[in-house]
Amino acid sequence: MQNRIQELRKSHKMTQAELADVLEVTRQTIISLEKGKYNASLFLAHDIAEFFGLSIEEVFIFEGGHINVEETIRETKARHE
Amino acid sequence: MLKKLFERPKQGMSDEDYANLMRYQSNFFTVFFILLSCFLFANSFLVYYFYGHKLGSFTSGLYSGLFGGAIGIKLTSMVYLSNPTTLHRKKIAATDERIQTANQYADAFLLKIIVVVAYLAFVLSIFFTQYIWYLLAPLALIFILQLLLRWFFKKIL
Repeated sequence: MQNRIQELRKSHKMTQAELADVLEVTRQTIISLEKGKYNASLFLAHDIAEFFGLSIEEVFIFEGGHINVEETIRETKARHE
Repeated sequence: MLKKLFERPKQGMSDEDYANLMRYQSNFFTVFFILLSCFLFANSFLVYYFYGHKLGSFTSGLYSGLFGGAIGIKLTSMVYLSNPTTLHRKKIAATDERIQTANQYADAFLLKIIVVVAYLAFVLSIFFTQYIWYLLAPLALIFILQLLLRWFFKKIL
């Protein structure tokens, strides 16, 4: 999952250590998040979004879930008909 | 009591809560290890007194190690609890979700390696039939425990 953490952090003129301190995580976690190596939990994602004053969707870019929701709904409806 | 004893630090907990948890756990394990060490020492002494068997180096190493471990736990916690900056850093390292996830992966992977090693040992033990049950029993126990734990966690999560 891609995210805008690095961009938002830089726009707030913060270092990775400062952001880590605010969010109460290690600096390595911020590095991993920015590189997209680690996906934040819903709680951490909420904290990050809240800190930047944005919604989760505005910080984290979902590149499609595990299922195609529209197709699944169509198939489920067809099964029940 | 048991829940608090094995409780993992939660994300977002205050430094004070973390200090209280650390104090509780370190105090318990310090007392537990010292008592265990004293119990082993007393047992070894009684065995020597009544049966004349000399203290084995394994037993003396075990109770010395337990006693040393207890002192180590207490000293480490005292160092952390006496310095708020160090305590805060320790709390962040303990509650960091990436580190917790990494530790969970490592623990799960280690268990898989242990099972594979035990399975290989079991296969090799076929050539030494007298030992086969010693290896098969713990291996079966691991698989049964895994099934039970999976069932348990599916229920509570």
